[in-house]
Amino acid sequence: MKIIVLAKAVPEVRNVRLALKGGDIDRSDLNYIINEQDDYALEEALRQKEKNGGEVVVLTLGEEAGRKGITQMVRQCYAKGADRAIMALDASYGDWDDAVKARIASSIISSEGADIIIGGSQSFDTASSRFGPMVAELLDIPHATLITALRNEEGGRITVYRDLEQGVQEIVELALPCLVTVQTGINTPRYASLNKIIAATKKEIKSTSLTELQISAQQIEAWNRVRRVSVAFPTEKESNTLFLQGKPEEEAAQLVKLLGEKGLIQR
Amino acid sequence: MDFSLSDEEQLFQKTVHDFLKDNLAPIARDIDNDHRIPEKLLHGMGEIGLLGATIPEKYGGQGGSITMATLGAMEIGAADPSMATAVYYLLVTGWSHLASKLGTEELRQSLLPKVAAGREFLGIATTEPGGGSDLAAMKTNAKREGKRLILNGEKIYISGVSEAKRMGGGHLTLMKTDPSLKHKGLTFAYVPINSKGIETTVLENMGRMGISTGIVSYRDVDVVKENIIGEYNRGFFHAMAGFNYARTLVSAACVGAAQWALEVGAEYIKRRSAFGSTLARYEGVSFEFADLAVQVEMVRNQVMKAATLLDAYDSGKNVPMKDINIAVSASKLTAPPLALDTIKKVMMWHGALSYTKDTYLEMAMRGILSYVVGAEGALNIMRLVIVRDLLGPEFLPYR
Repeated sequence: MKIIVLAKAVPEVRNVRLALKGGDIDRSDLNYIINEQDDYALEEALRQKEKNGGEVVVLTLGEEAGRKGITQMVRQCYAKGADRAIMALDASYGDWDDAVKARIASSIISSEGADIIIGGSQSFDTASSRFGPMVAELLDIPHATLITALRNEEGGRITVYRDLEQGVQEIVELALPCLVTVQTGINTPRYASLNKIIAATKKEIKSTSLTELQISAQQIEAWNRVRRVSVAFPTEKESNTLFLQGKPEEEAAQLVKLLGEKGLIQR
Repeated sequence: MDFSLSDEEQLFQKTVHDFLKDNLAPIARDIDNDHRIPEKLLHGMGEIGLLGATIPEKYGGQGGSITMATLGAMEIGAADPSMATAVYYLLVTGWSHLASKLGTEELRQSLLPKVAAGREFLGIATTEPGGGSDLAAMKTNAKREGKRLILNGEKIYISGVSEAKRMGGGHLTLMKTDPSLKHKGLTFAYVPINSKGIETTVLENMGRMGISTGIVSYRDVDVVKENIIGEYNRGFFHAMAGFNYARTLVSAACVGAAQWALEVGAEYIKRRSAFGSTLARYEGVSFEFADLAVQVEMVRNQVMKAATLLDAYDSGKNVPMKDINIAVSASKLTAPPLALDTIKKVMMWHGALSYTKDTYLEMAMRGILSYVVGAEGALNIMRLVIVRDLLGPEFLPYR
């Protein structure tokens, strides 16, 4: 069984002071980590491989400027057990809509071939859930989103479990090849061990480019139909703490009066 | 000179950080309260390769470097600033490193895989009731009898006594084998704590409650020749070599705790207001923060230098032992007092809150003091090493 994991490197917010540059976040000084939900996707892929054999290939798209951090993320996937990785980085990545990314990913997956394509159900940085389903549509294969369990069935099928609202569980059977996106509850991702980290830094990472994929700037332009206009941080709110003063009974009376004035309690 | 970490070092540091953030930091207070590091945590530390970081892969380890182990110690000191987990880690890592270099093949095969997996403890036993640093006063002795040594005596302030008894394992123990030769007549050997003839007593400490400290008494204890570390009667030199690894890791754990305290302090002074302004806007506080941040960075660099020199030495490069001794002693001389000073100043910024158990600061202060008062080498001994190597041995007070 061949499984492709869609793994996105997202900015790490710990110890990073976000700043704006033009209409976007300044990406020149970011640390990258694997998108949390994609880490669960990788773990699920590794567990499937451990059960059924096969190969786990990581596919990642990203900014050329983030090559170092994205390479580190891929190495982390290697250290956890991924067999191969394909990295497609481009300087204009930050301007791309999910549709552009999905077309590039599907082009790579078409030539690579896979039984299951698995990714996180949402990306942490842009809060987008579209990428996975878009890839499936472009490849014309079935997909299921937000899965919480995956079982292999006989005869080239898998069964996946989806948690819906109010505790309702949906069980879906998909014919292979297919694409699924996972929720964080599906498993507990492993930590890489030191000897695997040492081995991972020596492994090759295949790098591909738009030119190699025969995708032109005009095609990108035509696909890129949703554009980010600007990014803004929330305005800082003034602290609005009010200290009541007086004896306890006076403070209580003031509090009741204030809550009444704000319409929060009725007498 | 390149101050950056390699890709694999960065990746290891991040993995360890993530693992400890999820598995150690949330239970640090429980470790202090329960006087025990959960075995599940130790097994996890074994699985990610933290405990056997430098042990070769053929003995169940990871084949990593002292630099990597040092990065691990910094992360552990930050995740559990009580130092209990750091003590466990540095003993197991530092002394298994020496055992993998100088131990017999039998000992390496029987002991190291279990230590690396977090399933057996390995520590050090040198200090005696009559003295710690003063090895001439050592009384614990071993007589040769056929192919074995018969050990008698007593060691005190030995870390990991209860852990070794519970999990299995023991201590690399320094013993007099030829009293007439003074420090040239000492032998270093692994002594399993559950050996016949050993009795233990646990002491009550003020801090680092998660790991025990105790007294180990030996009465006609058999030490097989396979358990001798390095050469017979060369134990003093082997132990000193081992201390260079362990002291580097101690210093790293202290840097980790200092960095942790500084981050806790920074969060607090940016948030806490007094007289209409945040504490961080008062120069009396922010300049103190700046000074501490600079000192932590300087000592971190010093510790990383020591680790780098040890790695170079281990890989066969021509590194003068004097350079290693000075780098390691400078680290052990500066890191624990700096961690104590940082924790104390951050406590002062917090005021009464820091005197409660609502923060980890009091626990950190109790723990870090063990390294200030002397564990893994008294501060004045570090000064003596520097005097010996810079001024010359003729200026040592005991010569």
